[in-house]
Amino acid sequence: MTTAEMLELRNKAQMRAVLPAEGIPVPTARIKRLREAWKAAEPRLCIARAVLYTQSCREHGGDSPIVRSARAFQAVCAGLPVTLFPDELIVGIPGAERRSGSVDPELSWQWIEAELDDFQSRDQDPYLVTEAQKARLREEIFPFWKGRSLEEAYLARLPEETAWVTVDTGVVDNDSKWRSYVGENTPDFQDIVFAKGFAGLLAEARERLAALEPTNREQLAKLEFYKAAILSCEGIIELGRRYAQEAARLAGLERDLKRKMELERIAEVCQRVPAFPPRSFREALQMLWFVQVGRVLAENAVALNLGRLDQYLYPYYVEDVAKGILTPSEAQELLDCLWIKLSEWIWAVSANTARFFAGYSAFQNLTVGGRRPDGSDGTTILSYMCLRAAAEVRTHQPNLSVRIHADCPEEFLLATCRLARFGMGFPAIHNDRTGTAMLLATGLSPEDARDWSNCGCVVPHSRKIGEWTAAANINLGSALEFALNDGCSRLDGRRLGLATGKPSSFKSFDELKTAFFMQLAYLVKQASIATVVAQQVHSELAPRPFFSLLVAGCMEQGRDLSQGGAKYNVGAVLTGIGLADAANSLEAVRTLVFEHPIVTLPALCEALDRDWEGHGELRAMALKCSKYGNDEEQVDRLAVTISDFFQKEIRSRCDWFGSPFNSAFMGISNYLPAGSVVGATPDGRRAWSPLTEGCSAHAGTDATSPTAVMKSAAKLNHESHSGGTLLNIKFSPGALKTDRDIANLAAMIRAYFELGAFHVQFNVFSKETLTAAQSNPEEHQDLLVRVAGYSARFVTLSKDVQNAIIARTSYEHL
Amino acid sequence: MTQGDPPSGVIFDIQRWSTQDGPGIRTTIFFKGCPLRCAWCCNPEAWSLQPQLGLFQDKCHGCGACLRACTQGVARPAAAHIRVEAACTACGVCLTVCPQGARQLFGQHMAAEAILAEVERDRVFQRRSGGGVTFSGGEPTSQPELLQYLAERLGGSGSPLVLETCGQFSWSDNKAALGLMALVYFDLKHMDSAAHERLTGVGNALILENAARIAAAGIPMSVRLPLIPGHNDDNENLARTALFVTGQLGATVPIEILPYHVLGRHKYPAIGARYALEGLVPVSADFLAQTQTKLEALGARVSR
Repeated sequence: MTTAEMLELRNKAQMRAVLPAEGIPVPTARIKRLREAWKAAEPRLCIARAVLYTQSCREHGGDSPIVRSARAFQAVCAGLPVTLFPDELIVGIPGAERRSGSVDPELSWQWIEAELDDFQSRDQDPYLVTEAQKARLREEIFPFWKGRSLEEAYLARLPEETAWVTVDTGVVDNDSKWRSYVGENTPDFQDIVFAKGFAGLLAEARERLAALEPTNREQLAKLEFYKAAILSCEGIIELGRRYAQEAARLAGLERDLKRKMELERIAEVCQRVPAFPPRSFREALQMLWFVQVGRVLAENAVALNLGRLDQYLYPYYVEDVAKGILTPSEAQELLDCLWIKLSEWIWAVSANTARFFAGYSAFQNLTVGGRRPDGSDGTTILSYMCLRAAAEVRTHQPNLSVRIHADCPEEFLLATCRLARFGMGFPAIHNDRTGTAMLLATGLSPEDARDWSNCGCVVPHSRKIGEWTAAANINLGSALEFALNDGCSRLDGRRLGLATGKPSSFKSFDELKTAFFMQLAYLVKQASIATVVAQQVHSELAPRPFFSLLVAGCMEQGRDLSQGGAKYNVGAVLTGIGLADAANSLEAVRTLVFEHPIVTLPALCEALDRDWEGHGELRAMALKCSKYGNDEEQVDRLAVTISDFFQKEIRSRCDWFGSPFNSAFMGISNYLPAGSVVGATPDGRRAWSPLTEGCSAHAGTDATSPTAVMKSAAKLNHESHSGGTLLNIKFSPGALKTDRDIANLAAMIRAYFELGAFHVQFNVFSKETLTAAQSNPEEHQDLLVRVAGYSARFVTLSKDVQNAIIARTSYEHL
Repeated sequence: MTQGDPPSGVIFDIQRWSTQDGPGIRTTIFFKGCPLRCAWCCNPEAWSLQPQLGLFQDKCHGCGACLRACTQGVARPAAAHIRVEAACTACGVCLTVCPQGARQLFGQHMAAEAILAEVERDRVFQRRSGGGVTFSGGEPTSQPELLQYLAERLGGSGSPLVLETCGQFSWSDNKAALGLMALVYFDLKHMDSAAHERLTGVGNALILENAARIAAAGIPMSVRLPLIPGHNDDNENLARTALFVTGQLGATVPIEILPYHVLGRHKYPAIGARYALEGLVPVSADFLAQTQTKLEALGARVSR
């Protein structure tokens, strides 16, 4: 037996111990202190990056956009304050403060200027900002970018009709794509970053540059690309060098001998990476973090994913353990340090975007488990350690995803379920096979498709892909409203849809359904236009030289990511919001107006206009119509029909790179703002209240059982929505208590995946939710609680029983 | 039963994702009708063999929507509030209009095929978890033809079948269905027949006889003892229970204690019944543990 094989066996034996069946894992004292410091730090606006970036652009006005961007990145790496915090083992922050949110005025400065005075006081995700920062932004930064920003170019170029439907309407929304950078990237650590180091990439760019004969348009573009690549490499190498220097300086001052040695070790690590390939687990982790800092500095953006960490770090782990220079608990602590780091920086966004992506979440997705490119199981001890890091660090980042396949180790699935029990909503659990199928459909080779990892929320992605994974949101609730209201919004009466006729004009349910599909197709068309224009403007004004170093294809072709340089250009993703609401509403109209006519369509629409005021009985009947999420064929079939239509309509158009668009029903918090522009709907929903995320059931309506929700959701053709599908299920803490509960949960997941579905995640609700359900039963029809040997819907219980269960839930909650 | 039309019956609930009534994820079929009237029963709506309408007064706001909808004209207002009249046929129309959800229909006639279709919905979850179908109630043996038909149709599918019974049934009518069970949860409420009759309305002779028959037939069983403070928790009853189980049923047959709780009490007024144990305090976790220990000391195998 080789040493590696022996280690493999030992690792297998240790796996169970990594996330024990009993109790909550406890981190080291260092991690506890780091966590406390993180919690104590308030989110702040940081303008250091904006100042340095703007200065550089001011001085180098003659550069091509890509070189100007890379030169500015280099200036930021060279000028940003370098800060190490006590106890840190992994170092580097993309700002001046521990929890910094940077702004990118070159993309969009107008929202920053407009909202600057409100940053501190807004409800969703506020940031601290000083008067001095405000003054500097207003006097020095904004004036320079006036007339130069991407936002201005985008809005100037957007066709009038598309602007009318999509700009700040909530009907079609893509503001994160013209008020922010794109992000949505997964670096190729194993074959590019770790294999070459940035010094290696720099040498490669120089070589390719030297080999060019810039005598035509194509070669000239490559020339600019390689110049920018060189500047980007120099930038990130300089950042690492400055951290090495600072660590060495601090080590010289440090009185505590233990910390002094730690600082010396940090200095050593930073002298090696990110310039050169890492030689150890520790160096690989630090290099990964420098890449993350680099990405944040280049683009203050969402979904800067980490890919399959349990795959690309595993060789370093095995080698270090074999050499005796790393123990499993040291590796765990280092991973925990990474978790803290990933939670520190803030993705600074507009108030509007914050409503769509609530909770300071930067959607840095990290994926563990799943098959290797050759199809064999890739679960490693690091897969378990990542689950443990999530359990013991308990921060909101990274977004941890697991891939489960039919023959993945049962122990890994059980560990996943035990983590779900902690009620953090992590991990997001994915069907390995469906993710692969989704990517095969977009043109990836089988090997690359099997090597998928998640992007952001639930988008199957890869280190070889360039893709706008959350290009636009399309409000299905609006499409329905427009069908019932001759194309007009109930919010302000504006005609944002097509004039498909007044309610009285529909003689059959099919006619109404046709009108709905026409409206939906129209919104898809507008979302496609908005996306293509945004992609065009990005390709001109927002090149991505640093990101282009990280993705296979760009260096070889000498073409930027924003120009389609990636090995695969996968079509931008258009996300449908409110699938359940659209299906439920059509079903209610079918039942109440056409099947058992108890109300005419105009009369129903009048009740909607009045938000059901004075129509309590009609609303009661509407609420009692079949709802998606209860495994009832007719309404579920409507959801399938709508989602299939949406997918076909979307796939019929191509994005700026010439790749067909992809459909998705994913989450984020977009169902809240999307709901806020949709009036009352025929399913009994009140005006302006939330819609539904992904392919979940509308909150409170999945009253049958979790298995019924899964059956409903699995009826959708998940594999055809290559942008991902999402299902959230709520559990009472009492339902996930025993080993038997965990085993049953594991079986449910396997069954759901056997049905072909893609993703599920579990929320464990709290005592507060139950209290809220007492005062507002209507919105909490779905809360299942264990009463006594059986489960019941909480709202159907008497007040006494409810109180008893609330009292019990307080100690049930972990 | 192999001849004639498939049977139908009155079912008051089919619960999917049931995880407490046997191994794995189960679909539990609640049969309506029970020969016992246990004072602590938490499913009193299952006593009658017929569908019936329940009205939860604490949810009723007296809006009168049900009155306007009632096809029989019987849901008329009483002095202070709306109530269910004797002439109610449990048609269920009033349920659809009640904005408060104060009305509930307990039980409906279902064809066996409809019940099987409902079971089929969660088959993938049952299969994956080693679960299956549990027959509960009410008392499943009170509708023996339906029970046997369902057991035969489901028996060959590889999903373990479980029966929950009070034990008061005709052996000859239910023998065939019992033989198909992978596990029988069998209630022993009191070992003294007179006390049993006082608490449940019937003596225990047939129940004890049926328990012994199930054991003799080699059908795996698990005894359930509802622990009702002051009524069956005395040392003598515990000792006699342990002795009966270990002596008559087998040393390996486990006893599971079901601690008294009040979580079904609110359903009594909804069906116009009176709750006889008003004021009785639910069993504490400590008391439950003590009683379990006592039973173990008496040689019984207690499942905790």
